[in-house]
Amino acid sequence: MEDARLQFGREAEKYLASTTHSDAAELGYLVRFAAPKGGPVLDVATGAGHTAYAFAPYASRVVATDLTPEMLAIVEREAAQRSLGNVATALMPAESLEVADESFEGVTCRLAPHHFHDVVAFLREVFRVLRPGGWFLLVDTVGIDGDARADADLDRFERLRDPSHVRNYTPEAWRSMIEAAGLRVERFEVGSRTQNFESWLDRMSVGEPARSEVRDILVNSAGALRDYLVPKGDGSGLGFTLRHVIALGRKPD
Amino acid sequence: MIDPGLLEVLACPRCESRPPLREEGEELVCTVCNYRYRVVDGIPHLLVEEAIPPKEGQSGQGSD
Repeated sequence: MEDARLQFGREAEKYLASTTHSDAAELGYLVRFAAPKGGPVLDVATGAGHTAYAFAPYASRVVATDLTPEMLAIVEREAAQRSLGNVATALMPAESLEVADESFEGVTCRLAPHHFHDVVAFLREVFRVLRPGGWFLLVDTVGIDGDARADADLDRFERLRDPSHVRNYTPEAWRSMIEAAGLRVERFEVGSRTQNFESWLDRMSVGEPARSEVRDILVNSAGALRDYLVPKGDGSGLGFTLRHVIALGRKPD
Repeated sequence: MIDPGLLEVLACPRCESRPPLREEGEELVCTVCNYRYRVVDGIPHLLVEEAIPPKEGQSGQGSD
């Protein structure tokens, strides 16, 4: 927990500028995917707040939470600049959401659970804070189903770049965990996004020797790991792919 | 001052029943255990490990 807090405190402004996190087309797609009904939304581990800003016009209120004060300061500033008067922030852990039972129509969590130390506790909290009939939108990078070795190597690749990375759960693990928390999985998609390797490292200010180690894993990857990462190009044009899940869970009425 | 709509949904991190908090100056105070939580630059910090014990004279009932 403290690892993520330190890491993101240092890199907060980069997340505001990150095209991976601020892609307007993807954010618009996510709003349509969740189809909010206008009630209050809780955005867990908001980071620089991009998901909170996207849902704010479709919600009575968005409460954006994070463990990193620097991130929440950015969200406060940006929400004001964007004239989003219904975005509020509070610092709390994802695994213990300090809000009343059944107080939100929707919960969003995007590109963050791979940092959580207890995803099951997080999902239990999502269920608790949702109103009956409420929805949960999850977006996160995923691991590799069916090849435990490649899956572990992917996490090593991620952790070398970002020591606060905990785990990319596989798509099937996500489906099972969401259902085990009591939510019905209504929609479930796996997509992919191409990353520029150097920009991806720069966002976390990765220095040597980790930089070379991550590059070696990518360039020398084989089998299921290579099928997942799909390395392309070289030098400053080196790119690769990360897959992500987009899931919508519903709390029964 | 905390946004009243936000204050309405926030709950005490220490108490099992998730009781509401009230605003006192730059702090939020649990309506059951009276433990206090800092509000820094307008942002409530709701961390159980940063809970401040009740002020003298206030009954600290312990978490529920």
